[in-house]
Amino acid sequence: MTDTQQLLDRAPAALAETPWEVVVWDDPVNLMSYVSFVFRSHFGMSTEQAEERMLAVHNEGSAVVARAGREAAEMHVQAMHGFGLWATVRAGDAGTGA
Amino acid sequence: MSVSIGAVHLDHNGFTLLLEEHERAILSDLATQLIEVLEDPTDPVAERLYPDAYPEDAEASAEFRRLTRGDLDDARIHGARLLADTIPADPAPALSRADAETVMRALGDLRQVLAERLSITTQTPEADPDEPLTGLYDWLGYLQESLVLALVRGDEESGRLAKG
Repeated sequence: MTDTQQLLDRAPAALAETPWEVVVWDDPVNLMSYVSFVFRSHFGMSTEQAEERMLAVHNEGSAVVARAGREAAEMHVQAMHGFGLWATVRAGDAGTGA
Repeated sequence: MSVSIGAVHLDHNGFTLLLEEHERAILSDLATQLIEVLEDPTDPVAERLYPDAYPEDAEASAEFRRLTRGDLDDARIHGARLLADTIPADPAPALSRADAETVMRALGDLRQVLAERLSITTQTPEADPDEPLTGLYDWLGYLQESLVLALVRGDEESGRLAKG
């Protein structure tokens, strides 16, 4: 019974969608201004956020640009591929609750 | 609003690429070649345009590609056709916002093709300055950047993009 109760207690968290991460990788072809524009236009980022994420991609080799349920994350990746960006999806760290 | 940004003029009629006659000829020729490349599934540029969505899971990546590539290819070929059809016109037509974005994307696709031919990779990111295609690659970058900046300007003006 205790176990069942514990499961019930945890249910809301367990049912919440696992976050998946949309990762954009640095590539030598796409222009920095273009990548910023894509981030603003597609993800609705502010200019500042878009510049920050674009520079993170550029300087660190990759950056997480969105967290979402798996289906939504895959749609973002498809959109990024449509823009010619190198994007991947991966299971996020559920522990961060991000 | 009436403003020129690099190779693009933006006013109430839309986005106009300011190109010389020989530049239009080159660009429409490249667009025609882009269609051929996009219609050839074995061309190595496909690896750049359709990278693995799941780098550590070949099966999931293949499934993702199966589900998404057809639509993306259709959109790319539409963009290359738009470029091939509109660029040769003189005087240059003013493009709608949607068509300007489509052309911006097609210019990016063209750069990916040239990058493939020039062996520009993450390990060797600089184009060989002695290679004739390098000038073309840089010029396409200039055209694309002009369109990006003009789209930003137009989208901020229309409220499609938030300023700041």
